[in-house]
Amino acid sequence: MQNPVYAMQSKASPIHLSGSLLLFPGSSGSVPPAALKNPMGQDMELLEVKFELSLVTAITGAENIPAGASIWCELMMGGNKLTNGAIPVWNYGRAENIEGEYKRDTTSGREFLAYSWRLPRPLFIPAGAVVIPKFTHTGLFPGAISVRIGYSARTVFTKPKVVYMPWVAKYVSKAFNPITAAGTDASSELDLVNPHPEVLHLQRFTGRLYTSRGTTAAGPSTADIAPEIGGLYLFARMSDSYGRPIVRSYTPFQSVFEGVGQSWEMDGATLDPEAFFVVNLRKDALSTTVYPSAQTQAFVSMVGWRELELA
Amino acid sequence: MKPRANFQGVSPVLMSSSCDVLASNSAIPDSGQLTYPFRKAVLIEEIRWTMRTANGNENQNLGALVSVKMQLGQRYLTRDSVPVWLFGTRLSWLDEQHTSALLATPQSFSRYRWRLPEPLYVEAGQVLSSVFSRGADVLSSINVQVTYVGRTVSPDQPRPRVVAIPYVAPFVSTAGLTYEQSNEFDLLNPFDIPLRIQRLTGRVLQQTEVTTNVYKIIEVLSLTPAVAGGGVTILMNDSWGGKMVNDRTGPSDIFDCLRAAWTVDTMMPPKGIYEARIWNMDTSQRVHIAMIGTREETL
Repeated sequence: MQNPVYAMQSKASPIHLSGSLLLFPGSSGSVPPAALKNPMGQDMELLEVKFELSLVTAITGAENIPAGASIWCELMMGGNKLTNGAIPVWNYGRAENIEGEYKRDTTSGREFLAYSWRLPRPLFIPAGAVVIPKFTHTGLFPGAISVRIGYSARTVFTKPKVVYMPWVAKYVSKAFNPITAAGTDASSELDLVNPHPEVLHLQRFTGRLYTSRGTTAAGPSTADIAPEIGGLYLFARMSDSYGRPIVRSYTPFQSVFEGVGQSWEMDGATLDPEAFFVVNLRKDALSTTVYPSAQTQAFVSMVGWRELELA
Repeated sequence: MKPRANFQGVSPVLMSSSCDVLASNSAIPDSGQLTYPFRKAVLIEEIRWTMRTANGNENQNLGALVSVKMQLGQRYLTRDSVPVWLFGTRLSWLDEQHTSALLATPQSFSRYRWRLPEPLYVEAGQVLSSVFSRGADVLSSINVQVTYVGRTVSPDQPRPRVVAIPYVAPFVSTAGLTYEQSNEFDLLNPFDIPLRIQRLTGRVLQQTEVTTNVYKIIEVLSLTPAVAGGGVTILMNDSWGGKMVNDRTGPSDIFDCLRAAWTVDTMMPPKGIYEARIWNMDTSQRVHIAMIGTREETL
């Protein structure tokens, strides 16, 4: 019998769930599923996923460390994958406030970072089910990183007929190293792919650049606020499965993925079943730089959703 | 859960081109690059501009100096040339006047985005043309990269009979004046149909001589001064003298200092105007104001 207290509850009561873990370079881990499960034992709709990262120790001489490039997360609910493998956490949502993504504790010198992903459509999570995250620290930065994931959701009392299942796929380029050299790279058919039998509705592409000055062993970084690379030296063109260009000629990276929001917002565009996009990158030689050992790497993702009927 | 049949076949589209704009000159980017190559109708949802100066100029807000005039066939999107920084809201101070840290010789970068009030329908083979221009400012060549972002029109969607066309009208004060008033041709709806006003944008440009013949062009916040006459203030009226800004108020209070915009959702009647009166401008300052809206036109 239902607890009468629950009967008095709002029909769409907000609920926030979170869990954390500590990751060392090269390690993987997850938070306890119980921490991310609706404790009321009711259905809920997931609206937003939040990632908070903090470096456990300060990295000497480093600033604006984009740890979101180093912590990758794979999401799964039951037998349904929400991601094409692990996705760098800074590639889920757009940069809503790029200056606010990096916060330094001036006393300890530690960096705190926050990223947010508002789902394209609320995701229905049946009672007892959990969206399980699996994190990996790729070791792009030395030192342990504390990771906290939060789900902002609402409890619901009616089952929808259609479930909007998010889908996120990524392409991470090779590191263009050193930054002074020219180079090219391209995504494969397995990167920005819709492997499902139903059409994928696209919400956005995100595109971020990790640019490390490389002046110390710790690899201090200027994060992705280095428009000289994305604006002058790194160019992208894109095509679909049929070879049709969607970005017809090589275009500055940060003109494709708008430099402030680090994204290409779209609503209404689609990707056919079992189709894909290909990204071609061209990095021109950078002849004069004050950081000759610097390197840069592109992180591109595709975010959308597909529609499933509840059986 | 089982798959749900659905197919739309709508592809994202991005077209981009660049040109160099010299002081007291105009330039047109390659229209071939800005045309969708597959002779399909597209919807443009967003326009982006990235600008950079030649070497040696740091922290300049270049969108104040470069203006653009846009036209789709015989339909004008702008009344004359509009400074690029007036189209959209400000997204980031940092990105509007950013100086490179990696390059041996610093360059200044400015980035702007205009999310159109409503997607702009561009017929197959048609191009949204942009003509960039600059006044007699003190900087060297400015490179402008313009990007149109949108999607193809769904194959099962018929050609619309009525389309929404954006319209932007600016008022830019004259350099050196301390008081100025916009006239009836500035913030004007020139059409015989109502204009849906989405927002007003406003900014204050300041040109400072840092060292001899080296100038810095930046945006300055200009809040309501505590003492009358202590800074720039503005009054605004509509066509009938109805007050829009009741007391003389600083531009950064009228046009929210975070976004440089005043979002409204109202209809301006045919031939309607807004009038702005500006006091106490420093001779190094110029006030830029624009109104952004859409009108409906029959194809």
